[in-house]
Amino acid sequence: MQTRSFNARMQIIYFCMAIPAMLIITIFIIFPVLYNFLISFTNFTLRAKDSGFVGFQNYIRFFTRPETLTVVKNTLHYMLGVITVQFLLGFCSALALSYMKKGRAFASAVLFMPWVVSQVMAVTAWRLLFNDSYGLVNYFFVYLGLEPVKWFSNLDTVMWTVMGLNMWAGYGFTMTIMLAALKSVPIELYEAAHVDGASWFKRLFYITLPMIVYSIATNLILITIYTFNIFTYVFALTGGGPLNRTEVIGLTMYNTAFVSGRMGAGAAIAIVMIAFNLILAAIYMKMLKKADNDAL
Amino acid sequence: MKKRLFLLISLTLALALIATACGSGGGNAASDAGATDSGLTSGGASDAEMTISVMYYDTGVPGGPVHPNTGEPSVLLSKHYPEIFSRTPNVTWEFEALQSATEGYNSYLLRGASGTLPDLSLLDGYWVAAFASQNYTIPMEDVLPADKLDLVYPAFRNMYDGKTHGIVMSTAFNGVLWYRESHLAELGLTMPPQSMEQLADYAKQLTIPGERYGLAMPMAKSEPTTVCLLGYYWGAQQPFVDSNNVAQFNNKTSIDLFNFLKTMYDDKSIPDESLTMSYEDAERMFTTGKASILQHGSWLTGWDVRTPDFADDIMVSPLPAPAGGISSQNAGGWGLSVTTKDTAKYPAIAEFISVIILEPEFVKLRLTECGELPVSSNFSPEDVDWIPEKYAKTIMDMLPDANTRPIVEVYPDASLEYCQAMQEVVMNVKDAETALDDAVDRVAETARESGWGQ
Repeated sequence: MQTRSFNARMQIIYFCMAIPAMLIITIFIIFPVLYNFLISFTNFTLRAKDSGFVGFQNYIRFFTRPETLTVVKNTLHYMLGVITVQFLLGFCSALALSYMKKGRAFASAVLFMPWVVSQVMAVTAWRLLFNDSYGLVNYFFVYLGLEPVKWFSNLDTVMWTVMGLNMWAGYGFTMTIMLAALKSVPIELYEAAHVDGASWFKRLFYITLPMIVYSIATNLILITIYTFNIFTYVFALTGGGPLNRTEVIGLTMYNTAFVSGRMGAGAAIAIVMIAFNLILAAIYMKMLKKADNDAL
Repeated sequence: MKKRLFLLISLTLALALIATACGSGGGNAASDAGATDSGLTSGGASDAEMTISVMYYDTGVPGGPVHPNTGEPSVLLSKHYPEIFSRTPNVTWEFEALQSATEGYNSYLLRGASGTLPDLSLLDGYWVAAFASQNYTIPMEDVLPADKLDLVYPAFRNMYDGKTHGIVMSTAFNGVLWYRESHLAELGLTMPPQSMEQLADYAKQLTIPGERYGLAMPMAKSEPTTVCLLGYYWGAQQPFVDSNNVAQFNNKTSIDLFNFLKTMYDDKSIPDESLTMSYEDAERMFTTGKASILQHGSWLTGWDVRTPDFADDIMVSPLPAPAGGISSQNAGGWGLSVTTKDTAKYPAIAEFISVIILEPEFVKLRLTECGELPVSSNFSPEDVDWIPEKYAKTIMDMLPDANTRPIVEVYPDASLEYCQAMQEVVMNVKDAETALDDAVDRVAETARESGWGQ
């Protein structure tokens, strides 16, 4: 009886301690999202006084306008390219580092550096390095007798130029998570496999990858969320051009809401983005739960 | 009972914590500012003591950074404000620093809606429509005497619904031609291009494949690109977007302009990457010797500092006019707008505007500091001695014919659609007529959706 009363009292204390955090989350996250959801059904703009309920018009317009198809294609192109290359680059770097006996800390720090470089600085450097006319990269191409590449003006290469920056900046993140995962695999498993005569590839595919599968999935989901929401690199490098070739959904949302001032239409795009993120988050949570169950 | 009391105390504490956190970050900016260094009392007291809040560039805010052009504190602090304070002894002036463009536009509109704008605000020219249409700004006719208001060139009065809702403080042209005299001399040319055909021809001849381009200019899809193109467009003296938010730019002037740009793009006399180039990128091409002609702002007069190696070689020219038009320029810029309905403050605000924008002895000090041009007719070209002599006359001659961006709500969208159409033409996706018609349709759709005019 006494224990139950004590537990109930503790429950109240825990609840009270959570109140400030809950209030902050409610005020700064839940309320803005709900408000955003509400205004997505209006033609609210900061540039005019009158705004009203327009139903699903903002959503219908977004999904039916011809430019949306381009934006969706660009976003998918961007996501697939960045996720694939960033993951492979990060994973291979982590794998290489896991075999290093000396200087691993130094090498890790060097390889991780792009992740901590300020995005603005990275963009500025990228613009100068890859400038079509006076960039250092083309300078070396010409020096080596190669044709200079139209990094920013060719519709086929410009997206890869932007993606390249994201891959370079992001692979350190993947590498760090993968390295931690690789180090968590019990060494005994490798030793036993080695005794049984398993090759390096067999050890990789039958021991390493199955053991770190949840870390890989987590990593992939986080990169997916990050690349889906990408804005800074595209905005600062190309502004979505030329000819909207690099316009991704985050930039469309920004331009609609903040450049064009059509908050209602921008909010609708934001809700579409939130929905996509929620789906990914749900998958992530489910996966974490499964990983916990498997670990028990 | 104890439990309830405990819960009540916890809740009270939690709410107090939140309230404290919010209070320390928010609150009324104007009243907070009064307790800080940015609140300046002009001394003296009278029966009608008042506080006037002003939004200004950070260099004009007491305690703000030094002026980037001089490395010294702004002359506003040492010359202008003391004069204003002496003329308005009953006023306490409070200053807040202007936010950057896009963030500022939206946050000031929100402040307008919540009635928390300062009494005097610095607004970019094309913003004024959104502020004036929602009665956030007061017509200058109610604040300044007519004889003072009439001193301002019409192009620099931000008009909305027939009233002046802002006065541009000082101006610069968005797209003059800076060129290397020696490069033109290589072709035996002594004069800059006088027509658009001539400019395309010169640019082609000046281009050396792999080494330099004839012309560098910003052509990215952005509003600054549009203001650069408007320099040509105004030459035909046609509206860009009318007062009902209807885009009017699908006309022969734009078709000719886009085809002119396409010719140069096809000739490779402008860089391929122009379509993602900003003003800064174009300037860099010129200063690294990768371009012979640069279309850029008139504010780039300090070549001695930027390119001492060939500063003597640089000259300036107006943009050539479209066929049958006049050589023109897009100008404009940030202007002061009255954003208080408290009429008792108007006399003091009028003094502030007069000192900052209209009185030559003070205006000259400010313009010397920022390198821009006056906007009022009581300034003679000879007074403009802060611009190097070899550029001054050319630049000053453009002033009377300069035009400004349309002050209508849909202009930011129209400017982006115009760039989009230009890129479609240059990259051969559509012909000029179709691209412009499509752009006008998109602008109409945006305006209709937003309830602007039409």
